[in-house]
Amino acid sequence: MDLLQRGIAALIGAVVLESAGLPAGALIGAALGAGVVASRGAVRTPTPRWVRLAAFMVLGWLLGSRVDADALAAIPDLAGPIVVILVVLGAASAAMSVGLVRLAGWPLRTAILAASPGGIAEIIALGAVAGEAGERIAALHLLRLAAILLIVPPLALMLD
Amino acid sequence: MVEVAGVVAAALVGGWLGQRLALPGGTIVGALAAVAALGLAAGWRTPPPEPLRLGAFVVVGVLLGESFDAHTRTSLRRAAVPMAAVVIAMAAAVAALAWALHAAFGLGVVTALLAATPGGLTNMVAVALSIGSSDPLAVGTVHLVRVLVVVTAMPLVLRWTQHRPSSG
Repeated sequence: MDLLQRGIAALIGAVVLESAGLPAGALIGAALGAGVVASRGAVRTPTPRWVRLAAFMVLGWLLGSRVDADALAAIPDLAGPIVVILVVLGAASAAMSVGLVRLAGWPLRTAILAASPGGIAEIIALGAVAGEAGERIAALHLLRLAAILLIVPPLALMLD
Repeated sequence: MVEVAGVVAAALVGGWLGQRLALPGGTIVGALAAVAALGLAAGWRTPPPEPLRLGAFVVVGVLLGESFDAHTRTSLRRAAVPMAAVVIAMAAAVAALAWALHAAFGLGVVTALLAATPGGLTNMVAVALSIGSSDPLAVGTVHLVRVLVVVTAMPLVLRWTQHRPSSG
């Protein structure tokens, strides 16, 4: 019964935030909906494993369908920038993870997931598999995305 | 129809194999690899239909929501300052990175900025498409590689850190 309640609340939250055009609206709306119900009482019936696995499979399908020949053909020309971006973002994320652990006392794996450079749905899913508390991971990713979407498009237009 | 069935079968088999072989992040990574391989081999790249995509996000949202309890709000309030610090540090790193990409590789300023920013793939490509001087293919390719690398590497990192002491 509590699973059904969470499911309905999640669906309502997802539809509202997705319709409002928020980035990751379905995911965040569902989390808020389910979270409101879950925080009122114990979770007696967790989401069945097969539902979780089906959702993860769809995420993999979504990512896999984005791999195309044009993108692969562009990789050799972009190899230098790609390597630099991965190394710098990886190092920055690692440094921030260490900072979150040492200065804020976050658990190591929560810090690593939260400070990683996305994507938000995949990271939250991987965190759920690893049994990490999701709220801080989601909140930090959401804050990162919100900051990016507020700052980067106007800045790019200014630089154009 | 055959194409859709083929892609669904690839996702199912890939996800199942990834899980069965206990690959880190097995279901996601397995489905990803199988669908990508089929797309490159046969040109079949049908994405999941919109309701299915939304359904998957809703399920991940429910998994996240299930971890909420009476202490969640307090926990998030306490985490506000560290989170803001991380976002500011990330912004500084991205600005330096964009400048370096422009200076070292001759990428256009806007392309370098959009490629270096770890936003959503779709969002960054949409911005690139709407700005004349940027290169949407370059931006999309960089973000695709970033997400693929993070999604495949993260389970390995999590496995590596499984038995390490942590302070929280």
